[in-house]
Amino acid sequence: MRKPVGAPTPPYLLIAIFVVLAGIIVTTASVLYARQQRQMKELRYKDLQSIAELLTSRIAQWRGARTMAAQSAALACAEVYAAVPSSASRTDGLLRTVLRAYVGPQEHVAVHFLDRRAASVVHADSGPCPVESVRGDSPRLHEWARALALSAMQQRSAAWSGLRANRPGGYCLDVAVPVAGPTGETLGAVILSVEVSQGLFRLADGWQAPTNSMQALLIMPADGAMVRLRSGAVPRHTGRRSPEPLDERDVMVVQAVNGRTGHLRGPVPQSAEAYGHIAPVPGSDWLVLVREDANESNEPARAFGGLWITIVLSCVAAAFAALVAIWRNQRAREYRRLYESEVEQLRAEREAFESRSRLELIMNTIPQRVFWKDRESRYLGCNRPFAMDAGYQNPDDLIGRDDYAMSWKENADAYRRDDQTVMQSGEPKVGYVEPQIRTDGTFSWLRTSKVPLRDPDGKVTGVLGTYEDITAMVQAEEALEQKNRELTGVLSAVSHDLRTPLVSLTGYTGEVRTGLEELRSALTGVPLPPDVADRIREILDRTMPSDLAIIAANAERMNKLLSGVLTISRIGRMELTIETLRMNDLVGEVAASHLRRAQELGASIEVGNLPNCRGDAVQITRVFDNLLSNGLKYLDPSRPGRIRITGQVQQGNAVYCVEDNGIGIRPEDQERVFELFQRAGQPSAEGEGLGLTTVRTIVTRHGGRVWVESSPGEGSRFYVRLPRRADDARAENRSKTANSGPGSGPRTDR
Amino acid sequence: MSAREVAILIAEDDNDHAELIMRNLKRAGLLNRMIRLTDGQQTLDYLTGNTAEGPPSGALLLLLDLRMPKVDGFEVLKQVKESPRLRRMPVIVLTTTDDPEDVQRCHDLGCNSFITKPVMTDRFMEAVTTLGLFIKVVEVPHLRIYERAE
Repeated sequence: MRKPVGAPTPPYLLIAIFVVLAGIIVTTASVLYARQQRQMKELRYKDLQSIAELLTSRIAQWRGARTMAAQSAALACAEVYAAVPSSASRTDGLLRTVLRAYVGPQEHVAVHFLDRRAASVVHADSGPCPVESVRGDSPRLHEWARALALSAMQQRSAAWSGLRANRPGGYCLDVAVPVAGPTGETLGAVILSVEVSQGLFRLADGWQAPTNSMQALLIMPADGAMVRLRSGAVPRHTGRRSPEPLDERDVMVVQAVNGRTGHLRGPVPQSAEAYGHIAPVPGSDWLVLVREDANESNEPARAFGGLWITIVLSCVAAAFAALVAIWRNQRAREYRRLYESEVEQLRAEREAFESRSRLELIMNTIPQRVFWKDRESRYLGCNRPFAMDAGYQNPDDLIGRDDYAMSWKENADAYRRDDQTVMQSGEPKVGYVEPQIRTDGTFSWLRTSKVPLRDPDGKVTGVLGTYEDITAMVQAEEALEQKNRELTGVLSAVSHDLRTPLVSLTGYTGEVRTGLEELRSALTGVPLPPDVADRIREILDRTMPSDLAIIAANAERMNKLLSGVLTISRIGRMELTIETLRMNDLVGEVAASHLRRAQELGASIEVGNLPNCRGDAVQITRVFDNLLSNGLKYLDPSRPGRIRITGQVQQGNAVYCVEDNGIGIRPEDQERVFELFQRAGQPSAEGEGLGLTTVRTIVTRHGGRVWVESSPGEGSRFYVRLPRRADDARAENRSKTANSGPGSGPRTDR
Repeated sequence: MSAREVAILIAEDDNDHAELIMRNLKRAGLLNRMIRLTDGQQTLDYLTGNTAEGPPSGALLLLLDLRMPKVDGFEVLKQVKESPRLRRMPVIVLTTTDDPEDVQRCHDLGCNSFITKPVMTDRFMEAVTTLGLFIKVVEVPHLRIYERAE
């Protein structure tokens, strides 16, 4: 019965908007984050690069200084050997002085003087930097030392070796310079070795890493070693100052050894990933690698990113909250709508129920019986009064039955005929009277109407009938008719019975008069005493004829009154033949019949153009005859009489006016003139006082009305309103063209 | 047969009227025998012979009032005109009513004349005198006794 108005639809649009918004926010955030990261990285790289460059320049500076000092010391030593034979006892003293001048006292220095074939050491001031290895009994010169010495001698200039580990934790630098004799011949070569470890480490210790995770490595690829410079993670003075072998697992170190310089990023042994920068130390093959843990270096950025994430998450949360709020709102609205539609539906159902029950109430309360049948004249429904007529309590009990199953089965054929007529013609049949036999066997008169029932396509599906029980009305009419008949009979009888004595009265009055005449002629010539004769003559000639005349006049008056009563009662009984009356002709003839009388009175009669009406020609003629004679009767003798008859159509009726300029009627008499035997306070005027009563009786019988407007001393206007039909207008048009004027042509127009 | 032998039946319930009619008829010069009948039933009984005297013989003329007790004039007229034996008897309706319906009905039933009783003395006299003259001149057929059997 109730259909759902619609489940709440998910807010697709909102979800889409949310997704797009979230995407934009996330994308923006990630772009910003990446840019931040990049900037941070750039910053980090720059820091690392600058630190590395600082370190390399420092190392290069230090190395240059040391090299210069070592070379100078070596050249001085060579000059010592050139000037003083190495076998001399004061050679050692000279060498130490020279070395002290060029090299710091803390540094370990060793001087070796090799012969000119560089095959053996001629003289040595050996320290912890040997050039020979002792194998067996005889020391053996290192190959690198021999090559270095030969190189210096051949080039006649200083030659350098790389940093050399001379002992655990110690590095030394070796420089070879040739020793030339006074004539320029080569005497041999001096190799000066300076241990630089302590200086290098001091240099490294002078660098303070800005973060704990930052690390600096000095890589010496040619030596396959690296020195870990001081870092935050390594405590001071640990004593671990020896170079380490290059770590094969350290990707950055490998990259550095392979010649990569610049920014680096990759895994390191200590941490998952690191940023780094590798810079070469000028003037050497050394490299400095400065690196930092990526995670640690990311901390600020991560914090920054965290903010972004927080913002994004907040936005997402806010958007979600908004979404939820919107969705809930929408759900609420949908529920509201659903609720309202439910309420609306309930109200509609309630109204439908109420209107249905009201309709049922109306149907069951009205006196009219209502029923409807299908095409086969089977009952589909009816109201309660109809069911009661059929002898059922419940209208539903009739459904499916037909008239042959009813108490009025004898009428069923006629009913069915009407049903079929209505259904086949599609035309309603309205207001006809038919009989019906009730369940108790009584006989009812019905005024029935039947209309076809149609489906939406206009096809006739059945018939709807209504009727009302007019039995009482019919009976009342019959009773009234009976009473009317009785009344007429009574009137007629009474007037007859009244006339009977009247006839006797007049008749015997005549007898008396005859007797009187005879008496008078009998007495003629009979001598009588004079006093008696006068007395008798008085009676016979005056008193008695006068008395008899009074009796006769009153009898005659009585007779006229009775005639009037009879006339009126007869008019009431007379059958009317209603037809369309051409009033121009009809009134014209009436006027013509009064023309002589009018001429006698010096009066004029005018007849205007009159509309047609419906009526009985004889009776309507009588109406205008009476009105005209009435008008002529009450003319004012002091002025020329004028009677005018006009007519017009008002609201579908014909209204005629007979107007005179007679003596008029006083307002208090204007209604009484239509009453029986009233003569408008003019007892002297002739007439029975029946004319206007007759007029009113006739007009009323025609369903019309007659009334008077009058001003005493000016005249009266008698109005007659008579019914008229639509086609009377056409008849008028025809009559205008067909007839030349009043008085000619047929009186009526059918 | 002369008109004088015609018996005039006066069917009239009102004695005064009957007297008046008879007096005027006589005054008009009629010497005919006049038989007074006081109501419709008596009239029918007389005409059909349903009396001690038996059925009437000779020529008859009926002056018939319409409104009478027991059987009214219409019924009398109807039976007279339906009877083959009485059919040719002149019937003059002489009544107080001048209702056109009544007049028409009487003519339909076959009355020979319809005269309204005038109230005016002169007119009444005139009418009755006319009637007397009429009766005098009219040839009234004899009723045949043997037809009484039906």
